[in-house]
Amino acid sequence: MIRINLLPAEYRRGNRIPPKVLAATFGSALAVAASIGWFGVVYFGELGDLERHDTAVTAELTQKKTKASYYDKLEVNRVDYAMRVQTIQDIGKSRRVWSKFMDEVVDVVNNSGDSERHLAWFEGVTVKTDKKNRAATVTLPGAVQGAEMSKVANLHEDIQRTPFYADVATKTAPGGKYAEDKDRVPPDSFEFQLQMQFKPMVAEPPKKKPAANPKPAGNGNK
Amino acid sequence: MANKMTEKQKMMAVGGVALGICLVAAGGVYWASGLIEELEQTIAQKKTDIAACEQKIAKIPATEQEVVILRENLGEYVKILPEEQGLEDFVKMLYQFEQSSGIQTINFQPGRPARKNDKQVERFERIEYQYELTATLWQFLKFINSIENYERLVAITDYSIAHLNEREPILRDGDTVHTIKLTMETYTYNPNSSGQEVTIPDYNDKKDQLREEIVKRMQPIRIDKYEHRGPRGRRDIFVDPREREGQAEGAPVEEQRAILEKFLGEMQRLKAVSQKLAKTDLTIFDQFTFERELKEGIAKLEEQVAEVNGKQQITSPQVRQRWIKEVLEPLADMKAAGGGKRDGETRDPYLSGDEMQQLVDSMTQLLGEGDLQSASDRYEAIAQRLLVPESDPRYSMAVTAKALHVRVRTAMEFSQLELKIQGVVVNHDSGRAGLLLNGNVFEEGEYISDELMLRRVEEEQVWFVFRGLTLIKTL
Repeated sequence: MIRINLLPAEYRRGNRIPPKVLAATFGSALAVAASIGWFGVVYFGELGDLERHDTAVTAELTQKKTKASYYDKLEVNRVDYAMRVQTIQDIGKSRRVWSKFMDEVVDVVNNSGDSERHLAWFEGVTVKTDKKNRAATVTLPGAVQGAEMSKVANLHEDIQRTPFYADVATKTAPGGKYAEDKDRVPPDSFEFQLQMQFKPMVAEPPKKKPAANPKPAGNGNK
Repeated sequence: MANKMTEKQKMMAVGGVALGICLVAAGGVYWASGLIEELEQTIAQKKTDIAACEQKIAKIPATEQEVVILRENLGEYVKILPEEQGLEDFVKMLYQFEQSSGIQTINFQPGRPARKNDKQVERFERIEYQYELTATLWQFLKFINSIENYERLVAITDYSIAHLNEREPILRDGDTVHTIKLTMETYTYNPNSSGQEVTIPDYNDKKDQLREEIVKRMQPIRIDKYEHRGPRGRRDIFVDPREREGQAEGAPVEEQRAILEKFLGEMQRLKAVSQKLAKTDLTIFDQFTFERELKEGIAKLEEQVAEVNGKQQITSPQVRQRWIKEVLEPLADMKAAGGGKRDGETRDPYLSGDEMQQLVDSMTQLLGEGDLQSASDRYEAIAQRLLVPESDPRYSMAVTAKALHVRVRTAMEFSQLELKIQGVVVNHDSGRAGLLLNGNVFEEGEYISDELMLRRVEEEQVWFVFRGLTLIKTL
């Protein structure tokens, strides 16, 4: 049997959107709208806000970085200047005033003209300064008039009382040998060699520790 | 086609499309969340960086101050280590030291800057100089003392003094000449060797604001200096002081003693002047007179001492000991004490108001007593301390003293004029009186010379006007 629906198309029951479909469509549309809305909120809302915040923070950082870089340059200058000042001070401190030393030696040897205690003279003087620690070594080969060893000791005693002696680390002990020069009056003298080692003017940098001995290779079968 | 889809199919299609879109949206949210997280981390990092920057920025004012202070101070410090071109000046200065000390250079070798790398210029470069010279001990000490006191930092590192290889000692200025080897070093400072100076805004203003701090922090670099005072009668310790057999050195001991006694006498006199000067009840005139006497005495004695030392007239050890202890050392002390200069003496180059008043009173008194010479001497002894500027309140007093001195000098010059009064005519009734002077007759009001006028004639005295000053000559 053939059934013919003669109702206009809009009134035909079979052509209307079924309510289930309509509900599903509506529901889907809601879900789509909600999900797109969610995305919109996240993308354009949160992310947009953050991007704007980021732009502001970036601008602030750029501005502050310029000033911070100025500070860095200042700091480099400060450290550099401080080092230069220190170097100059170190150079200044590493110097010994030899004219003062020699004047004091001349004073002590002259002993204000008192030749009873000692009458000494020197063959010469040699001064050498260590380039690293600036410690100087002074060698004075000399003699005292007379055959008495005690006069050498007197001279040593007087040297120990001089201002420069505070800087002396070590000194040779009094000693020497008798000498006679018949061309001189009196001919007797006691020859000695006085050597003084001055304290270093510059502290030596600490020596590097030797590298630890490598362990002997084991067989690994412990 | 669509019409052919069943209801279920339609629902599935709608649902499927919706699900797809939802899934894409969810994926988008997931992706956006990832971006957000990433961005949040970036922002957090940037905020950390900002905080670090802010910490640095907060330190800028203090660091700027520090850099300004250090930069200014460094400028002062490096004066002791000039740049390389300063070496030429240094060598010229060495030549001047050679000349002033009297040493004779045999060899002078400047070293090259000790660079670690030939291409790289070190900030501080060490340069060594080798000297070989001949000099007496005193010349050598003067030479190295000049080097050590030079404004540029120079360190003497090695030296040796030895006898000349001569049979007989060679003498210079009466002292034995030695051969000397000397090594010294200096440094050059190269400010441009590394690093760049940062430009500090408003540098000069900041420098002005920090002026006090800069001065306060200007730590003087500890460069020890020493003032070598010459031989001071001491013997050269590098010469055997014993006499040679058969060659007695110097003048006879008696003669040396006589020289010593002469000096001791003069020292006694100077000590007496010094003691007088130490008294508290001295007038300003006595003080100036004694000070001048003491200074002149010390200067004269020093010249004589130098002559005796130069000629090595005191050689006997006993006399020499007394010479040092009783002449040289007290004389040096006297000189060091400033030739009698009192402690705490004012640096004001002029007399005080009271002292000027004292001078005026004293000159007036001496003028009244007719002691013109003493009045003039008092003024002239301290004339240099009366040259106060017009703006000084003591100026009028100084002018009064000067006017008095002019009167004194005028009166003294008047007294030296040859005025031989041979007779006077005094007319009490009318008409002018006159006198017979040096054979000529002059009436009152008549000029005797360009500067001298006869003003009045009385029985016992005659009034003259000399250079504007009225002076009376008694008969």
